[in-house]
Amino acid sequence: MRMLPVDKSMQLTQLSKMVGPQNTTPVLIANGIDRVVDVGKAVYDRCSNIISSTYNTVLSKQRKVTWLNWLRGDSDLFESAAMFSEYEWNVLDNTGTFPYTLNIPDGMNLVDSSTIIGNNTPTDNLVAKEAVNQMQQYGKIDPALFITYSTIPSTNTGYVHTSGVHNVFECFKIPWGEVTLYSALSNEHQDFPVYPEKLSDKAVADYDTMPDILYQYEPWYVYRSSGPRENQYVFDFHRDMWTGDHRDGYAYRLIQFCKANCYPRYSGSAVNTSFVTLYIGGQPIIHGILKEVNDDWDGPLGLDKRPLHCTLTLTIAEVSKESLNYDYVKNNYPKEVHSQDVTETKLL
Amino acid sequence: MNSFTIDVAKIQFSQEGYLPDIPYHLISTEELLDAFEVFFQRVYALPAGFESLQATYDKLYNAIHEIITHWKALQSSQNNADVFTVDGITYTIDRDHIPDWIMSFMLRRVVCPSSDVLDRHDLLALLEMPNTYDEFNLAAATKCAQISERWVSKLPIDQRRPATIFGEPHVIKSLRLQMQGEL
Repeated sequence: MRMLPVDKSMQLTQLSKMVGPQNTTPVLIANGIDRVVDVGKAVYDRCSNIISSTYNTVLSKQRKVTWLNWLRGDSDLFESAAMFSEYEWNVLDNTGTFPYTLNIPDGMNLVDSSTIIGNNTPTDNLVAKEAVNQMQQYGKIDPALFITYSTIPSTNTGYVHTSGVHNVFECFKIPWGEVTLYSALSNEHQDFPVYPEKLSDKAVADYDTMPDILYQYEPWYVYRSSGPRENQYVFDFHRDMWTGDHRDGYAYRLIQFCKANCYPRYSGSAVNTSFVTLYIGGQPIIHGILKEVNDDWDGPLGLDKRPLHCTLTLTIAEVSKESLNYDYVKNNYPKEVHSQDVTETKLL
Repeated sequence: MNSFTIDVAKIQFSQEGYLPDIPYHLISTEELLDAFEVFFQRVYALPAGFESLQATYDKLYNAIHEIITHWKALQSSQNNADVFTVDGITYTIDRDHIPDWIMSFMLRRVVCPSSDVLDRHDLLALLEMPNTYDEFNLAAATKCAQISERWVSKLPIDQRRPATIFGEPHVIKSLRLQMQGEL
């Protein structure tokens, strides 16, 4: 269920901008408001008329419980209705919407707006049950029922969604999902909030020389082996980059996940080691074993007295899934898919 | 008939709620003019504190009202034109044409206290009367009235119209010509 709070000075053109020109008339019809220039005033007048005409009316507890059950699908609306005064209950009962709001019909597609209320998050069952019990017994609900004690800011708190930025990093485009480390041992993955500082790669080949062959103008080389392809990937991030609250522990969760891949899982006599794959932009950059994980902390101290900035270095040695030979390595490079073959020529 | 601008006005008024939300070609010009009178009284009302310009404003409003009334009467008569006098000014109206200066009000081309701040700023800059909040105040309206009086007094007899207290296009044109030194 969604509602749009209305300002008394709101005009039809403003409403049209908020809900879209094609939705304006259906919204007004759904709320029984005439299509007039001063839509806000019409909504306010309607509420004022209901309030003055139901001044001495007290809605029954059962009726209030019915409304509360109807609003359980949206925790912000449920919490607001639980705190209603008598006149607000009368307006809700007469109009089907909160005072000074317009009901947005279901199925209507609107652009995301911070002013729309109705978060589509079901109310916690325990809270809803207790609220209904209190309403049935006492006719009112204790506001303390809705107090939560988390120190991590929730995006669903409050009656009205504000457009205030909770996480300062929301101003930046954190590339979530772009950089991922996958662990085959636990079939889990963790996302990095940043790209690696730089990407360096190499290929090495090891040759022996034959020192006993004399009088050669250059040594004889005997191929011994290639590799290992071992690279370091350095990630620079801040503990606030996840939720904006550096006490959420997500940065440590990522670091410990990386470090865990340096240890095996013992199962009886079996020792199972982990393979990791680093994906960047959906492409596997390297697949192999995680040989070293370094986390260096500096920067200001957070509220938990721990540093906020971390430089995480992963050393991964490749264990290739394919047999590496000249032809495979030469042809194994990222290819972009074009919608049209670039070699195609058109005869005019 | 200035039909394109009339259609634009119908669409605009329909979107703003002065006219019902129906296709513009189903709205008659008479309905548009009735809606325009409501619109004018709301948007171009004489602001509080502008009582010194009451007489000029009344002449403007009476002229608009009479022109609309006579134009509607002309539609149901056999005549192609009508001549009448309001407040000492003789007006000639054509059954196929609504005066352009009335259309400029209809299309919100006239700067008033409720206009967009950028439009108010531009007018105040031309009037050389800037203020902190770009308010279209009594002094600006008085100067507009003076410029308008000068301008309309030079109009041909068949194009006579009352002076205005708002930033109508002829006021802005007069100020620009003045700036160019051509007036």
